[in-house]
Amino acid sequence: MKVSSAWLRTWVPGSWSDADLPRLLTRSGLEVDSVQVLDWPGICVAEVLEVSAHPNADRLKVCSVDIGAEEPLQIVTGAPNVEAGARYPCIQAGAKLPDGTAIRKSKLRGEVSEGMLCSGGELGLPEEADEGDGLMRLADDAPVGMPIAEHLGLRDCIVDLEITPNRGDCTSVRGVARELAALAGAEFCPPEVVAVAETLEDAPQAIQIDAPEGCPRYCARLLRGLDPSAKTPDWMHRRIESAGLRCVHLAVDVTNYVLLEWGQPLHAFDAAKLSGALGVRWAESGEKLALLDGTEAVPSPGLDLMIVDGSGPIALAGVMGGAGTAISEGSVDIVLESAFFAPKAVAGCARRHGVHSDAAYRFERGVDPHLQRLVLERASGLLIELGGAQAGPIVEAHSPDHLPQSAVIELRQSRWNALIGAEIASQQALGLLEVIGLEIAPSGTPDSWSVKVPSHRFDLGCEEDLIEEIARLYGYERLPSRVRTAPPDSGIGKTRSASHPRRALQQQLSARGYQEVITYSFVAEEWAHQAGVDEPVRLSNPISSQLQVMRPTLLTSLGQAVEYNRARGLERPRIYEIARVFTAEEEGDALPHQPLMLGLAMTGPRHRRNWADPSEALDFYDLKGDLESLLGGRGGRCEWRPATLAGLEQSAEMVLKGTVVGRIGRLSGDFRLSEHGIYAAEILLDAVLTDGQAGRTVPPQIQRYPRVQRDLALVLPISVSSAEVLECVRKAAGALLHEVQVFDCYTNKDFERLQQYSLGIGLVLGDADRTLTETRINKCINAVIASLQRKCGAALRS
Amino acid sequence: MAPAQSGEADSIEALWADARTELDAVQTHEELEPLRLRWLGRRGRITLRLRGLGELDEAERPAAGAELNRLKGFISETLQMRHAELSAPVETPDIDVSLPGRAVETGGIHPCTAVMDEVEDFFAGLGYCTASGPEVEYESYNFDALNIPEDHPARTMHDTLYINAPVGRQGRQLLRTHTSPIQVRLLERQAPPVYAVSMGRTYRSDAPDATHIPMFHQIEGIVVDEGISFADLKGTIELFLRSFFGPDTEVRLRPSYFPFTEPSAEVDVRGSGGDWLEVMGCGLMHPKVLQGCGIDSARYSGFAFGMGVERLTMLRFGFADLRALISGDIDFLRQFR
Repeated sequence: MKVSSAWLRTWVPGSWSDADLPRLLTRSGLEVDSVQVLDWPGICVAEVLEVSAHPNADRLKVCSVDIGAEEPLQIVTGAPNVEAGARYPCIQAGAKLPDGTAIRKSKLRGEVSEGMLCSGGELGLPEEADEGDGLMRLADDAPVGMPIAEHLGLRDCIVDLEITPNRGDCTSVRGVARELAALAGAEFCPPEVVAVAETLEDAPQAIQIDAPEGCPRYCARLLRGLDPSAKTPDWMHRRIESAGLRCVHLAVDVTNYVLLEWGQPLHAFDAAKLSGALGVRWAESGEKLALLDGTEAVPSPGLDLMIVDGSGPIALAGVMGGAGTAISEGSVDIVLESAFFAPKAVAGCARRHGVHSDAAYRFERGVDPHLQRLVLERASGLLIELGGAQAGPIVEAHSPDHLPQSAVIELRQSRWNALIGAEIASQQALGLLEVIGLEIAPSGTPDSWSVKVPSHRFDLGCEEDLIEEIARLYGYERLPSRVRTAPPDSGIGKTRSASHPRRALQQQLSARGYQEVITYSFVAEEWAHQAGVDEPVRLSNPISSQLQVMRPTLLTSLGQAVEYNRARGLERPRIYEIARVFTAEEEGDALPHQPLMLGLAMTGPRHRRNWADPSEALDFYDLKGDLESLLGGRGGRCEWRPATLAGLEQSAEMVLKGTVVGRIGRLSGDFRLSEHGIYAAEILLDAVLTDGQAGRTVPPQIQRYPRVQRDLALVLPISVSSAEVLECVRKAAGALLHEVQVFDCYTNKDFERLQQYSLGIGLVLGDADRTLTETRINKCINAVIASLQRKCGAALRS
Repeated sequence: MAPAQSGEADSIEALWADARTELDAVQTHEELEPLRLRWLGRRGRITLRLRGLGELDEAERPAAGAELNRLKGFISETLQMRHAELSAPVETPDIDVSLPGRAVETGGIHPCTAVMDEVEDFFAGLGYCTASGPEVEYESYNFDALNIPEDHPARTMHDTLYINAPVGRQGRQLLRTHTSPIQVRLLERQAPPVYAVSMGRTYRSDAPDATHIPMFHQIEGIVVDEGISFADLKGTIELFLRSFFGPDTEVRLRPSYFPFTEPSAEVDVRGSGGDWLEVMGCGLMHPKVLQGCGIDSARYSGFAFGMGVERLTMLRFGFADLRALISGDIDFLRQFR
């Protein structure tokens, strides 16, 4: 909300300056978005001393201009109405117009121009200030050299405030002025509003409120004889525009002005277009309403609050009026509405219809429930004064039971000291509350008071609310600072996250060349289908059709990111992401299953291009090798089970302790077109995180006796997988086996014909307790060979 | 030279002197092995003398044995040294040491992760534990438990993404709009004292532009204990921000509003240009939130704070467009390493 300092000054006359304003309002909790100072430096009252023809241009004139400086300026102008001896606003070279345009010293057709004479439009003033398309002529006695903003009485400072949803009371000059007065220690002086003389007997027919819970109070007044030619005066015009609203028509402008001033929205109906009695009720089915903004609303029966007359709905209550009863240029008789609509009734309606009006903005935050008559008098007064209207009596309908009640809250000094963490004397604390209009009465005990909240502060409902007011008005900057560390029984360790193993994992991934990325958790629905998920977790209101389901897999997102980087010329992108994936639960309203996964993807050559390593495309085993390293000690126990998986080829499932924990393969589908193929894997994060020493049964020890290595070259039936061979070796070799390596995997035409292949395996043997003798080694190797022959049909290669 | 076979044995001093003389006299590699055999071989002078130790008196034996072994050690070490000196140098091919090594490219972690880790470490140092929670969350945890009822205007501050799922007792399913539901879940299962941080992805229905992305990260902290005051909050936040942005960072708390805290504050730090930059929101926990989690708000009080990870990252590194963080662009992310 934009608020003018000049306007505020009429409510809070004190000694504060424009420079103090942003600081004071920030301290009160009104966030200052921007400050616009209207003092237009470099623009002043100037007298044109001499006008001569431009030697090189018929339309231009060269002027000698006195701006109160020692030497007159030479200014070239094209304005037709420039006259010697007249006074105009003049901007000097180097200064900026209010719209930000910088004026520079320049040559116009060979003549130097040291500034510019201005029109009202160029100063951002209403066009009426100008004579046709010429300069803005000032009074002949305007003091030469005086800053123009000062001369025109326009010096101002517009502060744009962000109002938090609880402070509906601050959506007006009145509310901001009250805060300002409290913070500046100045007096709060609201303008006096007197009831206008009721010179008419006409009044709207008695108002029928059928929805008192949505509209506890409705006031209306008929005003007749508004002069259709009456113009909104400049001062009002400026204030309305300073708040960012446009001026339209005196009656509408007055309602807007009063809205800005008091925070109470008003609505003006053209009385000639109304028929029958006004009423307030919930919408009924089948109703339609053409709105002021040109759209047509279909109100939700029973949910939207409607203002109706004999013909049906005429306004969405508190949100927007209907087009059919709107004020127009020729409106002479009007009905002014001033009502209290419940925040709940308005908020839902504005949201449902996507209509955001200044009225809805205030009603949904709450307006002062006791302001309606006063504001109606204020607006009537202005319309009588400015538009020559005559007023009838105010008609009011209200339901006291449904009006918000002012809270009375018990406030204890011990409580405010405890929560604020500082001793604030009662006299000081209570004084702060009184400044903002709270009424304080003793409650019988010395440490406690009974505080009555005024009707505009409906946000204050409990003791903590009052304590916040004390802290805020006392000043957060004056409060002490302390630091508490957790006591020993606060549960550290109980809920300690997997952060440390995760970080170790990430360091390993970094060392292996993987860059962590973060990509959207939502993806296009086709991606889910491509990953074999028909019923993904869907968003009801996605941002776009490309982001409409929660991803069931990281692989597609990573594939895309790899392609993006390849397309940007990266030779061998390697990336990973740690994120949740989502699968719908079948049972009722259970949350989706959303485990954290580690996803990896890579493409390009195996090695960074260099002189020493051959240039080879990477393959499945590069990625598998990285995963095995990440799995650490558990890598050996992970089963890589061939599986047909949607979106993957050369694919496998990773199985740990009988549970599928991940999958790996080459991305298929569109990704197949990628030059080297993209290899990708994802695995449950928990499965890769090593919890340090958990599960270790023997303490770590130094191996004192050397290891020995024995190699075996095997010929195997192709039906036997290397995993089976290795498993067989592990079982047969027993405790002596440290490690088993596959150093060769080979086939040729002869082998193929016989449905065989050759596998070279190396066994690393050792014993913790004594040196291995040749006898023990041979015994072990023979057992392995025998077992391989028996279980795997292996033969030693000759 | 014939070894002394019998008769008067040489004194140990004489043996030392002979050994030194012979070792010094060696000129070529070839002379080394005969010298070794002469002294240490099976019939070498030392070997024979060691064998003859048995003939000595029992009392003399240990000292004589030790002295002989010392000499034996001296000879074999000196032989090794002379061997190294006399060995012909091995031909090692020259290499071009200026050629680049077989370097492996390293990767890196995402700047948002780095920031979250740093914040977690800071608070771990104060004894806070770390909690996490689901990203698809119930309305009740995301809003109701945080004192944001259905018609509350604060809900308009969160343009929420909802999940197409059956509505149950806990309300609709949605993508959490902040990390605050994690605190509610934590307080439901852990009795005070609670000192915790939580962090993770959060979502809002914003069209992506330079300053908004629909998926971002938050860090949230809560403390619930006896006697927690606004002063504890203020000090903790100031200490954290000076740890994160530097010891001289100016910090300002200004009054604000969040439905789940009372009093509430926005926190600003002074930027290098002198302007105040908003970094987080915080406040004392609203008694309704505590009560909703089954905590006696007359006995316990608490504070909570929350901040945007992307915002912290942006302020620290000074880049202009948030979208770059979720672009997956390796070239961009690499610059944070």
